[in-house]
Amino acid sequence: MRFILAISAFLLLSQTVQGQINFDLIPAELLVDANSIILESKEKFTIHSIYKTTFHHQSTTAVLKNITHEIMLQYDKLSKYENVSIIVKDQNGKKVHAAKMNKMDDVALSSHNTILSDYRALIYKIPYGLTPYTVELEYVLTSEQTFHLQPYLVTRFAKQSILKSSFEIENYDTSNKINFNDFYFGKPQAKYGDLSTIYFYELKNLSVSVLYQSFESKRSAYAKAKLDKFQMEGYVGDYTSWSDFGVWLSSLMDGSDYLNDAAKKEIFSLFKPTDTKIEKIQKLYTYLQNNMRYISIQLGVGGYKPFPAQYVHDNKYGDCKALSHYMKTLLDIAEVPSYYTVIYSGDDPPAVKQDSVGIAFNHAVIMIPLESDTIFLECTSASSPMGFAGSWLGNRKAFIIDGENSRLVNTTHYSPKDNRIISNYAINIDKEFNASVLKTQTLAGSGADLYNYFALRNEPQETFKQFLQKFTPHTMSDLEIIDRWQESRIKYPEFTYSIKFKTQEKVTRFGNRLQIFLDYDPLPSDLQDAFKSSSESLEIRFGYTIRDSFEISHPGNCFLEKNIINSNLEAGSSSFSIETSPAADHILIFRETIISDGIFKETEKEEMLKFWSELNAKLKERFILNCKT
Amino acid sequence: MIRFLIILICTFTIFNLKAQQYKIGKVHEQLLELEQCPIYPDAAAMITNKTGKAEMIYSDLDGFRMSINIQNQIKIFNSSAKDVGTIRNLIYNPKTGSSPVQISTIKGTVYNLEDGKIVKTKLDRSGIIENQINDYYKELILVMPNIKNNSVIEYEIEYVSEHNRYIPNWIIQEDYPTLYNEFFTSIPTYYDYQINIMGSETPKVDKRGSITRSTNYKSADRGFANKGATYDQIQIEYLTRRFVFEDILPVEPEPYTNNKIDNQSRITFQLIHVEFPNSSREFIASSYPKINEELLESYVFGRILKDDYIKDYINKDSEKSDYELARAVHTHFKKHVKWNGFEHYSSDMKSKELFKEGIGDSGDLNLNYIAALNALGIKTYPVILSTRGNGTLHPIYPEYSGFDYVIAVSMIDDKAVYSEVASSLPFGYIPVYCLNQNGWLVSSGGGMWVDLKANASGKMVIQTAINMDQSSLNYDLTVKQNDYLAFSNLSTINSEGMDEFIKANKIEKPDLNVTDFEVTEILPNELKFVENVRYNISDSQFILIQPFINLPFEKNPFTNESRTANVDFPFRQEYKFISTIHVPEGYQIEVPENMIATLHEDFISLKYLANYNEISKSATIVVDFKINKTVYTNMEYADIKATFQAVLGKLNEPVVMKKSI
Repeated sequence: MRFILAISAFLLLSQTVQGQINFDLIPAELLVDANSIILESKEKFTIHSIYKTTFHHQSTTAVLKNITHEIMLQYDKLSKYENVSIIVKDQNGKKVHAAKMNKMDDVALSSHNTILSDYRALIYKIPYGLTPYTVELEYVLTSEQTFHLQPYLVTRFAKQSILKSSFEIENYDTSNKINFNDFYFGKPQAKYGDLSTIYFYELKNLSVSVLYQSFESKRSAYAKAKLDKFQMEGYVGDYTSWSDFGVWLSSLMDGSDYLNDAAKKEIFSLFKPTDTKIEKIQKLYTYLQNNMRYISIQLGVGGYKPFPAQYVHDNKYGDCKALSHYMKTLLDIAEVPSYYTVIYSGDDPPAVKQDSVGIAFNHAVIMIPLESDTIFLECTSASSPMGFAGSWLGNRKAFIIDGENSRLVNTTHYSPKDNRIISNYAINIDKEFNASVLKTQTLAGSGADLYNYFALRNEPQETFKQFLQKFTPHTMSDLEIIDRWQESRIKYPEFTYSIKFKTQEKVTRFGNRLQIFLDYDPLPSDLQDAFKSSSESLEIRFGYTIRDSFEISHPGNCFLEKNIINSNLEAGSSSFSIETSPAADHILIFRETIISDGIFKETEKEEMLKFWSELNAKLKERFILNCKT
Repeated sequence: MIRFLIILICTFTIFNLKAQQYKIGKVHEQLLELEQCPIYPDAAAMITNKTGKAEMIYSDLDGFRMSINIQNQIKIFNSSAKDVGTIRNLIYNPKTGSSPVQISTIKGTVYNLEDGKIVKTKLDRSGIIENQINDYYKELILVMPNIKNNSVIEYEIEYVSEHNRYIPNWIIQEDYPTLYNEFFTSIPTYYDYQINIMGSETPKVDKRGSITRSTNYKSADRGFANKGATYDQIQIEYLTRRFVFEDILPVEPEPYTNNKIDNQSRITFQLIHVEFPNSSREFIASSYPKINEELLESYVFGRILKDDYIKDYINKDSEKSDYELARAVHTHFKKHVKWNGFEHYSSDMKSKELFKEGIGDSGDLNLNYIAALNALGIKTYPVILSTRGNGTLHPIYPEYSGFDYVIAVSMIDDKAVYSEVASSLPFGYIPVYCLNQNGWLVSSGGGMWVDLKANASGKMVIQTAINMDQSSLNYDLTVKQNDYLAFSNLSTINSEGMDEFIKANKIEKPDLNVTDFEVTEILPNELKFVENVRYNISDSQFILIQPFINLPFEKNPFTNESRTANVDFPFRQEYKFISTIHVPEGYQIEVPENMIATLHEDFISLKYLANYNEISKSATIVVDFKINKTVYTNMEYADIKATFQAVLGKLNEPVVMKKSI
């Protein structure tokens, strides 16, 4: 065994003798598709206490392809880099460049959305282009917080393979338990000592394709640890349970809910003595939407501490935390119990489990318990109807912050009955075979995400029209918005619009024939993504009811040469049906698609995939009219 | 005469009224109550008054400095325009070195109507954010407070810069409609600026004048007496110019727009020369021939072109033709130097240093490449240009800041061969981002304009064999892409790998099942791949066959009713689609009607020819679709839109195959 280890050590040394790359000793599969190879990376993360950590990085990377290789070292106000050394060697091992920290660009990590944050980065573009070459990077990063521990990122560039990489965590705060995430490449080896505990990961010979699989997996592609007890900017917290973690998040808001008398008076002036609880909520939410604006400024305690309510009230802006916290303050004034709540907003929320406490969230909202129900308020949107969680907040777990009573809850569940896309098409084909369409469409639940209609509901008519023209997948000429309105049901609002347009794509002429398509709107994109996914199981977070009725009138001198045959499809609770009723000068069609939500595995998944494929073919079917000229 | 005077007075009064109506600092109730923009009713906000000043100021300590003052008054109609309350400016602020831009004034006020009273909220310190975004620039962000529906916001920013030879463009046309836009310049006569109004707006006022100011300056000590500093006075004449624009509609997004900035009305400033008293005239720029001359004499252009370092590496081999030799030089550069991603047209790096470093910007690479070609006897000229998106070069008044790239044009066998070595393209091509109207060829003969798109074209041939079995139609496609229609895909394969290319190019339609996809040929300017696709038939009695399932245009890209910007295809395009449908026993096919369509003089053309061969029992459709002209004005928009509609209609036409009775 010792002999084998000695050989391995020799091989590794010989691959980079004096920086020279010996490709003969690199397994061929690591070169496939690789832009670069980590020849060796050694990282050691030391936890001295909850107030101090040190991260030491040493790596040698072979850059194989002529792409810009950029070193990017991220930091914040609680961390700093020392002893940064970058050495570039040519393929013969000759040093051609060297740089220290003072040669690196120091840039703010702001963006179009986040105008200011505590995060910055040191960036260095390797000023050398003769591939292959090696980059030797070494640095030490010290940090004064233990809320986020240094992760084991495995790779730092796209299309990178690994010859050898290791990551060690040494924890001197041995009474403070360390926990690990569900890392794709498994758990670390542990070595318990008197003064410290060491955890060790080692990875060898990982090709680009293997690493790609780790990114596609539901498990994490990087290893991340967390301490039971942590600290940030003097706020000491606990990850032991959701309740403990909630206590910490609650502490960040201590004292920030003050509003002066003038502000309170302004808020009180919104109410009538007879207002019910729900009327008060509606008035406050409308006040928030009309008066505040969302601006992303991520400062303070890692970006987790909201601005004080008075600041938001005076300046009329804030980020999701600030606006949600402000809304909670307003609700407190109105004596409406509510909870500041953190959540993952977006299409693919990570699994939140009762036994794995941590930050799986990227957004803040407000939860309000009602007598027989619960509503969630999105406080950053000036257009979202009150209580509408939509596809960005619905059907997932959220964490309500209430001191020791903090807990995980389920957000509003939108079932296929709630997520509706109901369309009516009156299509008139004149004697010259020009087709005009009167379309009325009602959208509800996550069905409203079809073209992001709820975000557009307050937009001017012209903006709505431009948006339709840009995002509707078929061309509409002479588009006219006839009407649009909304039924404001709490949690389940409905949006309806009515438009008129001419189409040369959905009714087309060829020779004496007309082909009439019925595929005006695509199926919701979240469904398309779910069915495309290569995951083991098929996960449909939102089910839908899609109902279309068509009345196609045409010149009487046409006969139906090809009809769409009445048919049904079924897979579990999902179904499709189409009924057509052709007459001398018109055709009536009724079509209904129901797609159920859930997680489908093995045979159920196969059944759903077959259903999806057949459904798409059915939706593409068309009528052919043969017309005398 | 009296009548003329009355008209003149009335006109003057109207202009003044507009300025008075939306005066900065005087927001009235009517404006706060206004619910709709008078010139663009659907606007979510409008700029009621945007006023700027560029004034050269003198102080004894700092000399001439440029002072820029911007005041803006914006009326918000609804919440979707609340973003106008966050104002972001990039300010030159080097971490090391000197001459940062000094911000001298930041003010802001938000006006709201509350209970019938105008309430003003001032921008305070907490709403002014300065964020050093990199080693050279900081971002100044004003986060205006108390913004509501119907608010009016006002802000003023003034900064002073030692870079007195640069006046930034003044934007007239914004994303929101503008009622009043004014710009004033006051420049000492020592500086001669060429001021151009770009875009479609014409000023309501364009008034020139002059002001004379007395300025004290410290003179040197006088002789042996050494009385210390003494002060003299000098009269400096400043030329002034004031522009006023009114009722400007917003910039609207449009597809196939090359340079958005070209469509945005603006005022540009080009410094022609500087001439101080008792000094000789220093020419900065005046014309393209002048720029041509200056570049050839320049340390960062002409000097690099004279470098013959390449001779140490490549010998002029009499066996090789000029074309082969030029290609060898191109290969040598591509192998030994890489582009760092920065675009430039000049260089301070000679070949020896460039080859040592192995990396440089496009100016470093291409100027040294041109020098190398000339050193080996291949007559090659640099062409300076503005890349797509950076704006079109002004045909008469050049600005150095307008150029951002340089390419090579070699004369080989009496033909102009365009090339460059920063991109991944093979010899004889320049990247798509360089295909931006004309470039200026720099030569000792005075230089000239060259058409950058002269040799730029792409071709695609798709051959499809369609066979039917019992339950499906099987499509066997062979796709061949050449030149500019291949480069994007070749680049994807090269930089992101074959998997990414296949992912991006495989037909993805829910009713089509791709059974095989394989790349069969990769050349520097050509790509060939085959794809097998299966389509399930629902009705075997009456089959509609889509002869072309991989069209380059899925839908008509031109949907707007009208258009202001030119339609700009980057290069000429030629498509040939050949589909052969094999008719099985017991079926009959209806051959589609032929069609020949052209737009004007073959600017865009379609030839669609179909026939049936009784012997082979197959129908063949051959389509030639060409875009021969690349730029169309807004006057031609309706024609091009209709042409695309007709072409796509024909290409999407199905072929009917029925069971024989």
